[in-house]
Amino acid sequence: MSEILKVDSLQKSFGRKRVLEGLSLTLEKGEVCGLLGRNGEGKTTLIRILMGVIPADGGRVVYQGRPVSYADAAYKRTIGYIAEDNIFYDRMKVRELMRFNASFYPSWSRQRADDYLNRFTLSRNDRIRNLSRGMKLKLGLAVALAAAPELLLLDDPTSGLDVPTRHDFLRNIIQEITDAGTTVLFATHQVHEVEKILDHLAILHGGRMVLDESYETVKSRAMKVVLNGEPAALEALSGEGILSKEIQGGAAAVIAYPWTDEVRRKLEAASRTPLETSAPSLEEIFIGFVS
Amino acid sequence: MFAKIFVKEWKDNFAAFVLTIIFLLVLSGLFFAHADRAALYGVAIFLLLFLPLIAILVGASGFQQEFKDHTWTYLLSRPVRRETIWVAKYFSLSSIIVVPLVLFFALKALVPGSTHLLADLHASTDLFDLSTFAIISALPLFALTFAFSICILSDRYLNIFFAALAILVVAPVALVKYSIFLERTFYDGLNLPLIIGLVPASFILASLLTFARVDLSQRRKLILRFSLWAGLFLIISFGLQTLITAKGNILKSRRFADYWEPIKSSEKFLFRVYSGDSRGMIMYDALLDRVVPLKGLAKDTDYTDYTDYRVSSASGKLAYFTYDTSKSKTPLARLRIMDLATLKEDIAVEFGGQGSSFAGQRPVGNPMLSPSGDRVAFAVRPRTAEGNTFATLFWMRTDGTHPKSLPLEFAGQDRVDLLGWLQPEDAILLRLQDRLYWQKQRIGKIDLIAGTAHWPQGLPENVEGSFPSTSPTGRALIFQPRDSAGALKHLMLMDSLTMGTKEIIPTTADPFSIWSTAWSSTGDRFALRRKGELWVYSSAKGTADLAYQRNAGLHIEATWLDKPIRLCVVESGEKSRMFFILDDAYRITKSIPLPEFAGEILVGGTGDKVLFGNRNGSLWRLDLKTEKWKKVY
Repeated sequence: MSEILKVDSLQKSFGRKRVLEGLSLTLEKGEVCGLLGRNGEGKTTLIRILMGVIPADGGRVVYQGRPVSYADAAYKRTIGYIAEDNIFYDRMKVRELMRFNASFYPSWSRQRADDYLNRFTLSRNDRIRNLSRGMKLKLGLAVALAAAPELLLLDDPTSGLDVPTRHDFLRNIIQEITDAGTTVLFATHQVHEVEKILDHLAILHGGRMVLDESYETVKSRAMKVVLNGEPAALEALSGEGILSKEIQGGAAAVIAYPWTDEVRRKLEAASRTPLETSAPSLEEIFIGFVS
Repeated sequence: MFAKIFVKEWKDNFAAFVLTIIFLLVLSGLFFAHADRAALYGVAIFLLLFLPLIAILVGASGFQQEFKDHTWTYLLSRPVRRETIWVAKYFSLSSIIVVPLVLFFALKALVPGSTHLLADLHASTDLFDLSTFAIISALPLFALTFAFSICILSDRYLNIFFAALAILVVAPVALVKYSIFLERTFYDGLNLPLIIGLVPASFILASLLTFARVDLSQRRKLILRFSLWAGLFLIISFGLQTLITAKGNILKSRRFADYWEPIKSSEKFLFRVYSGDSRGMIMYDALLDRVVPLKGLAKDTDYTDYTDYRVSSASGKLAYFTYDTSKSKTPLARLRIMDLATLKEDIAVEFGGQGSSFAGQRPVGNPMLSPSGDRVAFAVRPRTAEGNTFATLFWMRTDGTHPKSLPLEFAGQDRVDLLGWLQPEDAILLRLQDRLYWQKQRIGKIDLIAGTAHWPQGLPENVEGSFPSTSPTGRALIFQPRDSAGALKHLMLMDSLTMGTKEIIPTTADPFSIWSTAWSSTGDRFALRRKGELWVYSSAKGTADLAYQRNAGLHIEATWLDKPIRLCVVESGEKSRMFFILDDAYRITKSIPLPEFAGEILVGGTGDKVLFGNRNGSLWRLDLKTEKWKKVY
């Protein structure tokens, strides 16, 4: 696989508040990357920088091997974007919004646009202000996909959607997109949603990317360990490899990353019983990185 | 992409466009229905007050609506340059304001009779009168641009309030005051549209530089950067305006006043020149074919009124009054005599100063040199004269010696015009004009030898203000009397010797029928322009003949060339100007197209040299033999 997007040491502040500090991220072509982070960690800021909505204070973005700057616009012709709030021009009708966007993308296909509208059961004559949140998400998808983007940036698009719609989006639509070769960057804090579709996991915390790995690698290197021991000894557990721990009385559940012999020995030393290991959920891994 | 955003803005603000059109149509309908000053003022108020207000609201909607609806992020994430977004929005919103104005101006031309209506109200009738259109559209454009720029910075309604305050109060005062300052300093009145146009242009550039590059999410930085750019560009635009005006006016700074009756040989032409508050005098010498400076441009405390100049036709001398308005204790006025051959000037009389023979007196009207140039006549009145006070006529040698005087009894007179000096009779023709009732005038003759005044009976008391016109020899006088009801009557010719009069040409009831006259240097003929007709009166024939009739839509001016005496005409229109010379049978013997630079003022000429003046202050000489032009000033 080759790189499609490389972010290097990105920095961004709003007034005195430093939001992104030396953030780096690499995306390979065709993968689905989950960008996880707590509320306010900078996911939306990163995506808006990538989309040229706001400028970075420092750092570099390289897209398809070419550095891009805030003033550039052409590089966005192969990038689709669905914002968190799915805001469009309420005054417009669906067909007007499609026509409005068609002029921006050389690869826009009217046939493709119509196919997606039909698939999402959206009428071209519907006025946007009358669409539900789920229908607006679908409209945003139709607009984004009609241009056959090579990179699709999704900023928590499923927030507020009902479960069936969310399920359909995540299982079916994303799968189709990636099967077609589109790279997807999916920013969300709904961790469990993306677990089954990820190829690449990136966790944003404190303005930095604290994890940027393939999900398979993450799964193979993460371990959930349950142990029993003296509370004091359990409390003293820390250091490299110990992501998080939850102690209740004499029992502790530890998320270890990376799971190494050294970590194992450290835990065994604190435990009075044999260690119970299992694969942690993505949520547990995420909490471990951001706590 | 540009077109899409442009059209989207139109759709979003279509209501504003419709509202503006409705207003303009209603006002246009009212105007053409009533066609009076009140309706014209109503249109003016709308254009200068309400339209800028509408423009502010439209301009404010450009970005604020996007912020309010949160569609700004959506728009910026499209693959289109920010500058394209900004420019498309701006021009779309601007066109919403400009298109109704264009329609309004077009309506003027399309509605039958509107041109005549506007002409009757002395309003501009030209569809392509760019100055008027520029001024009227520049103010709302400035309002829109200002609101468009600053409403991106913070709260919409607050910005609208401050934008309205700045635009409707501060900006017009600042712009108009600055314009008046530049006009008075540099004497050019054509730059108001340029001034107002430069300001929105500067805001456009400042906004483009700011909003296309700065993070819109950081308002404080945005405000600071915009303020810096806007301030810089405003300084540049006002600086450019000053530079352009000053540069243009340095080139245009020399202007000439109406020229005086030329010397009998028509070989010398005198002009007064202006540059700001400075004044000077020049003389074109046709024999030398060049301009001779008589008095250099200077910011003098003396003020000279062109009506006070008089040239002696035989002796090559110039007599004129100067007024020193800065010093109250020194002489108030002076009579100066200049020898045009040597350019030597002497002060013949000082008026008003303590110790002078004319202490407490001030000159009235113009001085008059004798044809021989050895004597000068003038009228004086007490300096603090109020109500009915009488003037006194003085005459003396030009060195100020041997003064003689005669009181002029005319109740309430304010103006005394010396019309001519008759020789060998040694008499002065003069006109007295009532201060309060300017149409009330009397023409008389002062016998300098007997020291008596003769006010012939039978001469009408009311004459047209632009007359009388005296022949260069002083032997004839033409004037246009009014009857007791104030209506103009026939044009009259008076023989200065006998004071007898006769009718020359019957006039129409139109008070502006007769527009100008020009005497030949011999004083036996004069040309009279009446609307589109040129008439020539010959004393030899005793009648006036129609010499030339202009083509429709064109304007004519006429004067006499000397050596030999020939009548010449300039016929001009918007697209062409022609110069003709007519023979004694009024046939065109020569026709020359006049270039733009030559100007529209036909001064006169002698031999093969004809002098033209341009309103920008330049003088051009045409050689009739070679048809070549030379800029002499």
